[in-house]
Amino acid sequence: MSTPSAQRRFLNLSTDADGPFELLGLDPSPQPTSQQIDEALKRRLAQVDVHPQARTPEADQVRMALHAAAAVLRDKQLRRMLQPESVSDAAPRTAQPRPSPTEPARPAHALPLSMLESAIIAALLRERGWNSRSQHRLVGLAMQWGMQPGELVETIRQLAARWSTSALAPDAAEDAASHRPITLTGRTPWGARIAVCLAITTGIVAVSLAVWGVMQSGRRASHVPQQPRLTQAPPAEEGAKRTPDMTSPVTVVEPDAQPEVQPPPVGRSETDDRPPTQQWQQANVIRECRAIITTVTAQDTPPTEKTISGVQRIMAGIARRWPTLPHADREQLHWEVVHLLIAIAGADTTGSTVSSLLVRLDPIDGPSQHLSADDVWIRSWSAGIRARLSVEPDMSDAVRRVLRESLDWRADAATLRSGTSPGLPPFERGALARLHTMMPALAAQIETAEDGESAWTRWRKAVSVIRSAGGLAGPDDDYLIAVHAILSAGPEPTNGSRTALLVQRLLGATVLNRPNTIATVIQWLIDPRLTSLDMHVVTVHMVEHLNLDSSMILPAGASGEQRSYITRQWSRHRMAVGSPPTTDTPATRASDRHAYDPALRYEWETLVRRVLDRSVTGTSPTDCLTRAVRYARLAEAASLMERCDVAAAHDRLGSLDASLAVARPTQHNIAPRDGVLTTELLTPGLSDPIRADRIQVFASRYDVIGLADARTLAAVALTESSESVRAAAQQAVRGSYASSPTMMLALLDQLAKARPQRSPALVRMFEAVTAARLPDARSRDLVAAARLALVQRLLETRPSAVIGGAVDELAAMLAASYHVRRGGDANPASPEAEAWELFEQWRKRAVDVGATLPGDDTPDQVRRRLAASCELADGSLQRFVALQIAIVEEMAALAVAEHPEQVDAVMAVMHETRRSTHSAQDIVTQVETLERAILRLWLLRVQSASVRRAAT
Amino acid sequence: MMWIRRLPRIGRLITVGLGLVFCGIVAGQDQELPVMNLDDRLAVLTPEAPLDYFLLAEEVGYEATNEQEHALAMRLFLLAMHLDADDGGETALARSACIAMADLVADTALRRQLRALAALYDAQPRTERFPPRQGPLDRIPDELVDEIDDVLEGLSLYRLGEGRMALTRFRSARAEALLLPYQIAIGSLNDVRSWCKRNPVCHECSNRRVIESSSTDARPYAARLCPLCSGRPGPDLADHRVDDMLRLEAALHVRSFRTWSSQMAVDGGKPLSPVNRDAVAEILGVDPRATLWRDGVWVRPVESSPERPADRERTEDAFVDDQAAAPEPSPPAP
Repeated sequence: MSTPSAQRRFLNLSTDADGPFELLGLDPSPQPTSQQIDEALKRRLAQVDVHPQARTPEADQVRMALHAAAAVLRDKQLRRMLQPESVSDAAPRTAQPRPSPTEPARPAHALPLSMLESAIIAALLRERGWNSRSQHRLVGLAMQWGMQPGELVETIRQLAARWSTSALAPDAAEDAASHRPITLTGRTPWGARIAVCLAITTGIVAVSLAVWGVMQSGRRASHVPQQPRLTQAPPAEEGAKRTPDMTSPVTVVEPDAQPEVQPPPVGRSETDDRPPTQQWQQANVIRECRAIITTVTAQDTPPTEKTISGVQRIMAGIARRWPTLPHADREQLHWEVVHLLIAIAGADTTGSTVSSLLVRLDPIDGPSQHLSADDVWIRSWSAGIRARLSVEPDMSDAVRRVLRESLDWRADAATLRSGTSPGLPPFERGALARLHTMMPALAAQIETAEDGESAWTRWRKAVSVIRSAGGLAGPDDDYLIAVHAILSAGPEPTNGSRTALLVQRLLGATVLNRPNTIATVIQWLIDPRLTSLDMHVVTVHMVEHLNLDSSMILPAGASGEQRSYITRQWSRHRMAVGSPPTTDTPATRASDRHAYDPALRYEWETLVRRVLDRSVTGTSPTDCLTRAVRYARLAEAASLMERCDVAAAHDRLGSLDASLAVARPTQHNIAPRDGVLTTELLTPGLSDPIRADRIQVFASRYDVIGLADARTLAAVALTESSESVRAAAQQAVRGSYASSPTMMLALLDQLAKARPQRSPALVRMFEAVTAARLPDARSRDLVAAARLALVQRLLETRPSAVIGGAVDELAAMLAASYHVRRGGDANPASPEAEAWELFEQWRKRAVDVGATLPGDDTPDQVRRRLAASCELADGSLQRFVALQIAIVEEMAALAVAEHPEQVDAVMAVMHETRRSTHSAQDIVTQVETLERAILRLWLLRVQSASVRRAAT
Repeated sequence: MMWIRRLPRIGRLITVGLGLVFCGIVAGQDQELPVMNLDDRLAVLTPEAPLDYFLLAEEVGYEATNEQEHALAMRLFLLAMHLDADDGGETALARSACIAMADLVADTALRRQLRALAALYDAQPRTERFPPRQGPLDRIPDELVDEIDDVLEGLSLYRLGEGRMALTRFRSARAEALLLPYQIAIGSLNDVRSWCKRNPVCHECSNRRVIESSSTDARPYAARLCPLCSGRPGPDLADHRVDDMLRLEAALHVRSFRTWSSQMAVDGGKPLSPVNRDAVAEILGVDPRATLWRDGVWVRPVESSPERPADRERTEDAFVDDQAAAPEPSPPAP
């Protein structure tokens, strides 16, 4: 469509045309005849034709807009509706007159069809005929009007029939002149074109809607939690109605309100300009949403201020009460709002309008900004809608980016990426993330703000509603996080204070005797941010409610030792209660086959195939280990997927190559004229001042020192009998060559030749060179410590040794990956130790199901082979490989046991790996080969799980 | 010997009894193996009774006085191991045979292979983790602290070109034994020593790094760099060699090779060898399928198929090479 500025330019209008009358330059009253409309159209077209830019695309758009306006005005009913007297003051001209709150609303399909027809025509004209965009709009239109697919098809068919009649055989009863064929280009009758278009459209729309209907019913049946797309209705389950019954306005109810929750205020606010006595009704909101959608869609111009304020009012109304709405109603409202915002975003591709609408509800605060009780729900709702919109497929990338950016400022990233909320829909995830980030602010104001307590009450209500919507986990963990936030960011929980009461209330709403809760309390006991008084309140509550011994209460003024003792007591109690569920539980094992997130699995599989198919380049140790780390990280992502840790798995996939760019050796700096200092200093007969002076001059002149001069300088610095010369040498080493590997090597070697003259200056020199703390000058260990420090520093700084350092870095990355795969909670240990842990886990899983490799009689045989390999293994690296082999065997055994149909594929992996491992020429190739095998077994495992899931 | 205790009681009695009897009978014979009716007893051995091979091996090993007799004992143990392992290895005979052989061999690598095989045939594998052993690539014994300091200073002196001084550090047998496994890192120990002997100091400047130049009026005592060593006496070592020495030193200082780079420096990234039963047979020069003693030679049973059915099935399962194809038959012994 042409933009308003283009219309002004081509048609010499002073202001934007507001409707078809103004566009054609016609007076709305009295009603223009068809002849007048045609003449007006001709005039306007001629106006465009004489414009200097008449052959530009913009001119064509204006012509199209003129034809569309004429087509609309030729329809008698439409024309009547566009008359000024028939237009409601509250609604845009093209919108349906809004029924008063007391007037029962009519069902959607009973609304005047001419409105719908006009919207259909507008959609077709806007998208320039039948194409994917217009299909999309028509389907969306059906949804907006709450029509069944068949109804829309029938409507289009009737419209096409009427238009073809009026265009090809003008009705004599009507003004004959008004039905003369209109020519678009002077060759084809306009009405005939529309009729043909509609006739074709009817058939295609019927097919597309049928497909859409099938898809939708399939989604309903699948019960998969997924956010509805633009073309989908809200979930039909849980009593949600696709078409709200507008004849019976729904009043807000609070079916699940807790006693302490105050009814949300529904009074007037700065964004709600309705009378305070007017009751908030869901049906009205929905109707308003649809009216605005129709307006925005028809105009296709940036929304006016009036529209914006209407949208703002709608959103504020929902935001202020969303946790009190029944789930189905809330879903319905969110769906309407999302469509509304999508329509607005369609007219403003930058996304700034939508973003500002939502940000107005959740502005960026200063650090000491007070959050009212209202803010808790409003701000979390804003974040939730942003999260929902940011995954809407119909939003442009730019708008999605703007929304995500505005959300990232306010929401907790881990929660937002579902780190603590796996399985939650986008709205709930975003809202929960915002509820998490507002905890410190709420905690800080609990004692000072009047509504501090009610804010927390609302916070609890919102979290509870979100968790119940997710249906996967209760709000216990959120409450525990809140308690930590209150205790760490809030005032001290003195006896009877609001803080103490709130902590007790939150703990009271938490299941206390589960291992996770006790583990959390133990972490708090270790956390230095929580005072003894904080933990006193917590432990008192826990002990009272779990009927534990009072010796487990931490005294308010406990010393560090007391706190450690109490921590140990709680650790023992945790042992008695049991460990938190791990991946080894039967439940999670059973979920192995069903737990993979489909989108993430697809991403993972794509990446794995790409990595496995990538040709192997480079055979250096760092090349091999780099590939091994990449394989290990993909296996790590699979392991995380299996544990349903979607966020961590996603992060792992996103940072597959993080830190893998190992350092390469740089060129040696060539010492300028190596030997200068040696010859100058070793010339016989020089006095000490001259020698000291020559050292100083040399050090001030040259930054880089050669090996001969370094050895000379080192010898002087260590063993020179003249104190002044020795001091000058030590100063030169410390000041000019402290970071020189050549100097370090010279010092290391000279230390073996003669015992150094011990002094504090000598220690300072060594400390400057090694960047390490060394013993006192009189210590017997000084030389040994200096040697070790020099060696370690040399290995860090010698360019050629950097490769070796890279090997160790890559080994640490492998250890870290194994650590994550086994679900370790502390820092990673050595690669060998981590591999042991991981092997034990796989072994346990295999033993639990009695898995053995084909040909093995007992599960013990893997361990026997491991024992044999360890007998042959020299050093930690070879033992790591032995453990890798054992892990591969246990994984293969488990894969065969769980997916017998995969036995051939699994054994093929084993054969190839065995052959490659035995033929490997070096240990790092073996590491890479085995890590690749582990990844291939993961691929089979994930694929099998998916196939089984699809089959079930 | 530990393996005796692992035998059944009857086996022990038989072993000891037979040993005593044979000792008594052949006490007067000097050159021949004092095992009664050895040839006849070898001839009656059949693959169906691996224990007979083992018991005879015990006797022969006990009485062995020369290489040939020693080799016969090893062969009999090896055959007992193979036959029992082929039969499932459930009687622990294979494991006992491996332990017995490990006690007899002097070669370190072969002994480790045999111990690995013993672990493989252990019907009750250890459930605890295998601690790092003491060894050149693992934990270095604490009593070697002095030797470690000596050899590390010796390496520094070697780099400095102080050959004479360096040799004093490498002189002790324990220091030499300490350095032996790390020859990949430092280079051949013999080469290092011979360089030090050839270059006790720089032949031109005696490690003073400079020599006196012809005096002039202006600078009567001018010095110039030694033309032979250029002021840098010592071997011309590549960077990676110096790096490897430094890694070795770092590891020896803490007496543990914890980092992969240090291990790769000292063993050159040697791959992990598979546990290979047939490698043992190959080293010993024994055809494990030649189980029958006929007319003074070891032959395969006529019905022996070229490939055991179990081989094909089991070689595909494990990373252990204990079922690989057997080597070609070797000349029989004795």
